[in-house]
Amino acid sequence: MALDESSSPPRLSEQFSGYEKFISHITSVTSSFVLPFLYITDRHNPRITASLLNQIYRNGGDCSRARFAHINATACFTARLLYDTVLNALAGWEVAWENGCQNWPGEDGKRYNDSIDSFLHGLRNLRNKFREGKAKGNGSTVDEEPTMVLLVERAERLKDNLPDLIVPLTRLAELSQVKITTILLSSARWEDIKPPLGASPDPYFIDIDPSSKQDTVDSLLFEFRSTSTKQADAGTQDKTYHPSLLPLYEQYVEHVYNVCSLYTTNIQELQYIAAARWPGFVKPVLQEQNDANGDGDPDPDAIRNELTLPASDGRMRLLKFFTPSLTAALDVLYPRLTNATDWALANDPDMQAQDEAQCQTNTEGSIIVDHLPRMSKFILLAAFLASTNPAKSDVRMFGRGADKQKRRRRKFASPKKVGAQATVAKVPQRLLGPVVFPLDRLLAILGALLEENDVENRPHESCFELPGEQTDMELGRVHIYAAISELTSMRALHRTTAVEKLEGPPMYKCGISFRVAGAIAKGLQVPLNDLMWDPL
Amino acid sequence: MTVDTDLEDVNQTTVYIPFNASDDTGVDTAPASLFPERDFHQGCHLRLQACRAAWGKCLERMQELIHSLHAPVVESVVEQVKKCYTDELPGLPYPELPVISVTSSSTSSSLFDEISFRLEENTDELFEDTNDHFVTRVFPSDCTTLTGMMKVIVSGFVSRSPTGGQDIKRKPSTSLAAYDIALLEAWYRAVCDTRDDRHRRSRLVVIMHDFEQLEPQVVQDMFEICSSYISRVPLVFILALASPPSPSYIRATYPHSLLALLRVRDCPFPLAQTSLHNILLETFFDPTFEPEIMIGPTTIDFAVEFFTRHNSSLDGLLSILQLAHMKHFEEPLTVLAPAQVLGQPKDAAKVLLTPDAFPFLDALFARIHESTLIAPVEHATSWRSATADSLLSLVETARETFRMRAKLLRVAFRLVLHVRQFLLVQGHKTVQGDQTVPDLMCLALRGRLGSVYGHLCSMVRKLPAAQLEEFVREVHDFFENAPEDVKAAEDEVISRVEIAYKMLGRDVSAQDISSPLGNWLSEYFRLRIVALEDAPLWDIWYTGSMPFPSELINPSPRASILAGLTRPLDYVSPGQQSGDDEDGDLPDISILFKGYLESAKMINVYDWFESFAVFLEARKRRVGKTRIPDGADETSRTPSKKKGKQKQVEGEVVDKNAGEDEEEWLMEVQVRFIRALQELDYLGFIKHTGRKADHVMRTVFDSPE
Repeated sequence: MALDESSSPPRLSEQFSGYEKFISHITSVTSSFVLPFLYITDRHNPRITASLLNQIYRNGGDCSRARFAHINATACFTARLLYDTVLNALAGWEVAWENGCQNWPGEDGKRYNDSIDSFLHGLRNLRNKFREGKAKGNGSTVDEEPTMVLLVERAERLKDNLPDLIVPLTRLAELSQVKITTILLSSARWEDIKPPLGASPDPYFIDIDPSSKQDTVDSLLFEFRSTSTKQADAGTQDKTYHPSLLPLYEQYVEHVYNVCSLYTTNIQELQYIAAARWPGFVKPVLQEQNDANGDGDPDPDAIRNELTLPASDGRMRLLKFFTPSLTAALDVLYPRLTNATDWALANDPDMQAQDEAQCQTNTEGSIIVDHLPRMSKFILLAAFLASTNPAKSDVRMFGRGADKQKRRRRKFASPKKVGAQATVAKVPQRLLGPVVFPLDRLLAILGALLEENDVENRPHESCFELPGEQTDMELGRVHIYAAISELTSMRALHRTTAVEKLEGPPMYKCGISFRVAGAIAKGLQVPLNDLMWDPL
Repeated sequence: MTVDTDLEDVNQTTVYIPFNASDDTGVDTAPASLFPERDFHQGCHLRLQACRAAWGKCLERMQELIHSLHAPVVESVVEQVKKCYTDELPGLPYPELPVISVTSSSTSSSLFDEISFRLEENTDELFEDTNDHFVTRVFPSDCTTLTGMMKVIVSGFVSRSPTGGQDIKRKPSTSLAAYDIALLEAWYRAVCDTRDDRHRRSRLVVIMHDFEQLEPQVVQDMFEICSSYISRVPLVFILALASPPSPSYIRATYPHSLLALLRVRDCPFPLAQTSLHNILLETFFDPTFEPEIMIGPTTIDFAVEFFTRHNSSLDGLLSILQLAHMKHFEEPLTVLAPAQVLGQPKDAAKVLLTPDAFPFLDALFARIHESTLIAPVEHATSWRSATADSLLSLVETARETFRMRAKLLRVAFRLVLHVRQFLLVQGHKTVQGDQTVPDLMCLALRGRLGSVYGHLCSMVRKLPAAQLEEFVREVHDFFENAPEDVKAAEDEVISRVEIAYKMLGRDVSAQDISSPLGNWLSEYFRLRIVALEDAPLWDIWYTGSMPFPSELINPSPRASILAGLTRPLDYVSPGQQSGDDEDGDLPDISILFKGYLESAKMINVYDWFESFAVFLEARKRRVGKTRIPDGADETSRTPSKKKGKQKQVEGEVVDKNAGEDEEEWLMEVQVRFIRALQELDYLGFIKHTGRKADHVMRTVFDSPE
């Protein structure tokens, strides 16, 4: 994304289409030191806004004269990191391994990172340095004070990591007596971060609107152009991003937008999906091109040559042909079940892999649980039931009557539910998340499950005569406990009590979802739905 | 003894009881044999040696096989690390952080040693004489906080000097913090400069062990930080996952915003089940490898069952087989399993001719005479001339017979699998059956594979011409690759296959070849796939149907404790048991436990004590009565030293004036009660709720009877 030195504001607005107003706004506000504290809320694409601001201050017109530091509140998770990063960035100081990774100002060994006071001191020193430098440089007026800008990305993280620093950061200009503008950029609102008791001044708010369809398409087109220049610079023979394909790409991107906008309008997500599908999409076009040219010698200038695009009905057919694979891409790529590179390879239309890929994506939908030993599967199932069924229902769900068959009753309309209808509809537990259960209950349910579903599958031992005696014995075995701890280390079970606590039984919570439990139950041929208090 | 006087002294608060080595004599002596009636003195020691050697050979083979399972995974991980920053799809919105997840539940962590070794080695591909990539390993214990984790990652790389020379000293206060990724960036720049690596091809690889145990919030922040530095620091993460690839732990735990920063690639292991089958097959049914001890069907069954049921780890399989070996060598005769374990034949005879070894020789002699090693006609005469040497040479013959038999069985079994595989590939679905490979192994070892190869051979008879040609070639090649001694032994079937092979060239109808071929094969299988138990002295080299000691691998501690408490005398070694009087010798804790089982949910401790006292009173009276006729063997009846003392006290009590000792007796009862109660408490049978005065709660309710 790095732009040339020659880049100018018009190009910026081209790259960040839809941000024109914002650009002029922010440059006018910060070009001369007017506001010490800005708060920009962007709920949609803070990452893009951050890179826009970065470019404005690094190399865009008036503002680039200001000293600029761009930090990420996640990365600066301690105060010292923040001080070091900000001062080094503002001073334009490059840390070198050879001199022992010294921070600015280098050799003199002054320390500016131990407290907010020394940080402010550092800022003042920095200002003085600039002044001297300038005075020496062109001998102009000494009192021309350099302006500085500090941009904090993901400012919402300040609240967790450095709550004490929010107030000083918002009052930085006032405290340090330096012309420094603090810009907090966040996807959260200022009200959520604001320190109590009005300790911070109110910022100047700027909100970023979601981008429109046209803006999205425009910025994707810009990305296409920059990719194609990058590829041309790298000298690849690949014509996937040939400049003359741009009109086709425009149509393609609009189509992608139409297909996906129902689920996401995030520019970067759309770009991700578009990038994954584009090589496959354009392949037939390029192939036709090659065939038309004949398999003659590959012209070294071919990249520069114009490619003829298919006629409009051809394009329509292309778009229609690829629509199902676009939805498939959205299904798989938006939740990142796989990555774009692998998906693009697997769904290459030339490899006739279409069908196979389809199968693959389908398996993602239906979970297959292998790799787990049989007993671990039973334990997981028992844990799921223990976490979703209320403890009081266990006797009814798992208990056996005297005649042992068909005595299990299930309440489809429990008396409780009838009463509840008048007030609030009860949400099934499996939608509310797992509840905690003790180890004993897990073992008891496991015993009931094994007795009902596993007796035929285990080797018979003649020394057990009473019904259920063998199950009881199996339950006490070391490897049951070992399996439980192993599942805990896989985080398929969550242990909620501390390991070092000996008092009382350990408590667990189930870590698998209903769908996974369903898949396991299917594999074990356990009627899961019959065993749930709130059947589906 | 000063200790005794110290213990009696009321003023002493602490007593030092010095370690007395003589208490523990017999550490070095061999454990008692299970079959003392047919064992000899050195037998145990020699068997242990033999067992070690046999298991060592087996283990080496299996480790090789496991290692070869690792190889493709290591290869693919290394390959992915190499190309992870070069094969990016053009046009992506931002570079993604490459993450390779390796599922390693079924194998040991040595896999990651191999990976890091391969990544750090110098392949000359990138640089002249330095390592290709840098690897740092991260363990969950170091990474409970973000600062800690970043510090581990950064210092893991930075601790290596980029120039190879003296490390440059950094000042703790005015240099970058040790957990600052900017430090890593500066270091990496220095590395690239010294190596003159303009394209920055070396990767910084972070291997994260036990990834599931890392705190998700910390990992999330860490990934975010690293992702913002991708363009300057080419990090690659390798995650060691214990959870199965589906359902994916990473995708279930981390939010979309983080997943969008990563490019996750999975490197799954082959299915553990198939690896198990292959390892068993290659270890015990490979024509070129001869294990010292052949594993019987019960052990194979148990191993497979345990593997699918409880623990799918190959290390578990190793323990099971090791245990099977140890169990096998309990049998005294197995001392003869390896050739020349007793040294040269002469020495061996000397060892066996000591009076100590006569029971063993007797047993061996009896076994040999039962077996087919000696022709029936000679029975009448040969026992006279039997010497230790002749016995040993007969064992030698039996060994040769068994070895050959097992080998031919292996070859035949492999051929069965081969034919089955061939027919499957050709689309004959019926041969699949519902048996897995281990099932077939068990059947073959029992000699009951008849229906399987019968079906296969009938399929062979019906093979159409096109497939037949290929089939004959396969079988021909199979025997071609067999070891020389097998070829010599199987010349009959080989020559028949040869005939069929030659007939192919001529103008013979397929039916004429396939139908005799099917018969020949069937006959061959019938001859070779027979139970190994038919061989003379088979139990020296073959575990047969000996039940596997599964209690040792998968014990049930709760059941054992309950059984121990209710029937303590079963656990006393037989010599010390006094027999008839059932209740008489119950230890205090068992008496208490009886009351425990009979009580309700809450137990009144005072009532419990009362019943305990009554019980002891009754026993005291009984002992007093029986003591008058014979008062000699007090100490020998008692299971433990402590009780010996008590009984002596009891004896004295009876003799002395009753009124004076009543108080002392009560005191003793109370002490013994408290002690037993503490023991039960320690075992976890009692819960102190404090809800009711003088009451404790039961924790175990099921009756162990």
